[in-house]
Amino acid sequence: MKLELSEIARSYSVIWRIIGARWLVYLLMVAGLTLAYCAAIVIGLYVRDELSYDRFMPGSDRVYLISASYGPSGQPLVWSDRTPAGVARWMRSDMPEVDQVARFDTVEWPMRTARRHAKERFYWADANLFRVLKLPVLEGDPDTALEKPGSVVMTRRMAIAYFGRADALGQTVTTQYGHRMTLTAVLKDFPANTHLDREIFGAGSSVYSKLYNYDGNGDFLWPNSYTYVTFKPGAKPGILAARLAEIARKRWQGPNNLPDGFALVPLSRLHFQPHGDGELKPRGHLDSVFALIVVAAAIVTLACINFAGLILAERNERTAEHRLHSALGARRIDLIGQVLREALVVHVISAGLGLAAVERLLPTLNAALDIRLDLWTSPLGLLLSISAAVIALALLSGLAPAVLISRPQHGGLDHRNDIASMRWRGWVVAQLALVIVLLTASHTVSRQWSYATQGALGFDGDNVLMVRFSDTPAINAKFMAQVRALPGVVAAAESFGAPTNDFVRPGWTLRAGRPLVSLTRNSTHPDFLRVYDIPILAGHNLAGTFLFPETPREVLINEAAVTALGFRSPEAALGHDVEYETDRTLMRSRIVGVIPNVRVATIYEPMQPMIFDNFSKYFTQVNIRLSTHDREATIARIDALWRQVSEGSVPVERRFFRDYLMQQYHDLHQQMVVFYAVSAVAIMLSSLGLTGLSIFLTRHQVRELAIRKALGATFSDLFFQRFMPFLWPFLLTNLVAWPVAWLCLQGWLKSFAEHVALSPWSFLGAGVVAVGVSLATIALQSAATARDFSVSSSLRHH
Amino acid sequence: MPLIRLDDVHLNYTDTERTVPALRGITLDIDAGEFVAVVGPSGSGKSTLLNVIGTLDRPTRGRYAFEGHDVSKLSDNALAQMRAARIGFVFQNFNLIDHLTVYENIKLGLRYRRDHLTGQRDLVDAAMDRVGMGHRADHLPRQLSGGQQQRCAIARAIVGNPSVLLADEPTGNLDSQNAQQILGILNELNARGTTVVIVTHAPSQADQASRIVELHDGRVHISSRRLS
Repeated sequence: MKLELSEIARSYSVIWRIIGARWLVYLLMVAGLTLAYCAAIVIGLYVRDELSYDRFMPGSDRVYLISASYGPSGQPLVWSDRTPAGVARWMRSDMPEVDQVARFDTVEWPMRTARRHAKERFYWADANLFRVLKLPVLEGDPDTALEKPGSVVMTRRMAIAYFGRADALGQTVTTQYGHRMTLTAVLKDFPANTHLDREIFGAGSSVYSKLYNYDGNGDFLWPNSYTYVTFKPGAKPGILAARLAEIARKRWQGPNNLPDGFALVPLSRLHFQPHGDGELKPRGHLDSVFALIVVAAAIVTLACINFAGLILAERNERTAEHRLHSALGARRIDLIGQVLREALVVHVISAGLGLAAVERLLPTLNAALDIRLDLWTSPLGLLLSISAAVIALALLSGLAPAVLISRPQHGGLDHRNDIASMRWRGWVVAQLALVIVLLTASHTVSRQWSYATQGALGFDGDNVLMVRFSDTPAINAKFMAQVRALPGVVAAAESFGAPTNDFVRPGWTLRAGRPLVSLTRNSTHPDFLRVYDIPILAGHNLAGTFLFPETPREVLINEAAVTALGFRSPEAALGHDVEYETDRTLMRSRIVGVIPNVRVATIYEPMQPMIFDNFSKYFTQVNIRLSTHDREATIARIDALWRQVSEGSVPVERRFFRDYLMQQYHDLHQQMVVFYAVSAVAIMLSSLGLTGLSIFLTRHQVRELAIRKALGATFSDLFFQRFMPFLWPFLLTNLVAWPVAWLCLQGWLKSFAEHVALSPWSFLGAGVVAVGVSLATIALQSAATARDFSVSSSLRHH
Repeated sequence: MPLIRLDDVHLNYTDTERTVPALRGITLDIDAGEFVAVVGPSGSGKSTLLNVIGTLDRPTRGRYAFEGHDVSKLSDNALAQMRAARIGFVFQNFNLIDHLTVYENIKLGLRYRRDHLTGQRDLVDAAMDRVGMGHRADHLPRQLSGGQQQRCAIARAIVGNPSVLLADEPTGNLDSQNAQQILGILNELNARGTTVVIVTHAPSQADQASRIVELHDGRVHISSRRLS
């Protein structure tokens, strides 16, 4: 049969009139589905963002980052994203399967033009870097841009910052020691989902670059460069990684820090690899992505079930209409088609509203999660995928009620209503269980986040400002000479780096007669303990600092190191000598004090045994504890002092330890926000579902309520008549939800080396909140029903 | 003192667009023990009058006294209690609860009384026997004929021994044989002292009442007592 356009339009205009006439039920349908579409789109964007890390670079799936593991006796203890600079050279000469291998290393030097003067974080890169990392280019030739010493390549954003325009090839920036670098190419701006955290590449062939220095000095063999490789067709990366280890052993010239093994990490999967030593962006966790996909699917499923239930309730109201259709010759397929058309209209409206809500919410969400999700990166793909989802979900959610409604009425409508009511009640209970699981998860993630950023540290990092040293020792010395005396400064101490990840500097320590162990090393001023409020458990603090001779005379260790070195107690470790590895040699030192375990890595990794020396050669920053009183004024004084001692030549680079820590736990914070948001959505959906169920029951039971009221039932009788059937199922829901939540959370917590214990209060609180909100919803509906309906009318019309 | 006294009672139904007067100044006394038939054309206000007497609807204006108590001054809960203890309802479409058995439906007539009647089982059994439904105690409504369902509804209405039984076209959905049976039961209840007010279209049924009240356009047109 040929359908005319006007007839199709007419059938949809009828649907509009139906929606208009029964707006309350349709409002509930649209509200629930809009929430679900909104949550699903946001989660979809987040998942797409996570799964497409670095994919903006063409051919990224062919690029591998070489990761190295270090550890004595063949046991990898530390994985590093960096490899010794020589590895690239060895691969080029000893591995014919290699197509391209290129490196970069990080640097922080001042950069200056007439428009901008900043201490810039950038890379020294090999000339062929852009043949490996195919970063989209706007200006210049990427194949030759870094060949000439003194060349520099920037993103469009940085080019505009330094030169005021993107087409600035040939312009120069002045960097450390007055070196001038010439812009030879401009790259398209990077998306947020890349492991690259710097946007400027300097030519590694420049004589003042670290790469040039490494290549000219055979001793620079510790892990210092990020090495990327592509292979010729047919090469097997797994086998080549093993061969690389053999080559490294053959070529190695250093003392103890030989990489134990290598791994070739595909760039497209780098984001989900465990965090390695290095300065690449904090990683994501695939488990979290899967968890979010499951949560999105659950939310959409529940919204569809609510929708199906509401369609059923609304359609039961129109029983007479269906009978009339049947009497006029409508086949079952016609009735099913009508329900599905209505379902499609509601889903389209909801998806549209959901999309609009996401567009509106994204800026807030991006700010809260510190990400850059973009709805319209690929408009056609987005619209096609949403359209496909809308059609699929409309069919799925509309089919069950359509089949049920169109079924010939054997056994009476009331009987079918009973079954539908029971099923719906079952799904509402399942929905409530999901809310309890999500709330328990949210609270546990929040506790774990709080533990990671507070309890797990073992020190007090609040109100500690970290100021990075310049490359000019005289400036640093002048600054240190005055900073302690500034009003508002409680204590200040130099150190190698900040506590936590970029603080990791693995080394091997030998106690006479025992095997080598891996200890994480830091070099600190004695006041470091005061700044971070770390007590001494045994012995005494380091005495002063020294630059020469290189061998430090005394060291502190932490409790984990006491155990790792085989001492019975902190006291037993005092006075013992240990040897530990430096750049060039093993150095002998005496343990003079023991401190508690302080966290140097994230809680994804186990507590590190640590060793502290007072070798000022390695100091890179000063840690300043500020008084809580008038902090802003103190910071202004510190900035002023830096300007004064550097005579304006080097911009101050500072940040609070807590900000740094937040960056380390960025993904955990995201998970916490997402879980709370999703829990809120689930609660709203649950309430909508309950409201729908309540409406369904009201319509189904209105005659019974009217009879009871005619027989003398009071408001409270009717209220409890409606309310009580929900009470026990809701309370019993906890018995289902708690074990599920326990199992899920146990699994999640196992991804951490250290974690909080699951608290019964999380479960109980989630149960109370979820059941409380649900019962309140039912109570409100029950009260409204008991109060508002007309007995006489209800008894006459049923 | 009459059992029921209506004095210039008005009731308007209001929706968003208009107000429809259903009762326009009804003044009517019903004494205890009377059997009153309310008759009149469709839309004349018969059922509305019954709902007002049964306290299911409140008058918009006018005074209604039940057993001397001014109903307009009673709270919703007090009215509910009055219905539970003093008023029995029988409807044209029976209004039994589908998932309750005959016994449970009848017992529902005692459920909302606050005076905690003792021996409820005996009262339910007695009510079932009075309407001849003792043998169907465990049946569900859908397993009964129309006449049986209505007898069950009458048993539910009288199980608490109400002062007045209000029946809104109780035989409207029944064949003549069942209708006669139901009317017989109502007569018997009246003979035992229960005041009965019945809304009916059937002149033959109205003729069995001790008084006929005829309504037109929400007003009492004729109120005539039959000579006994």
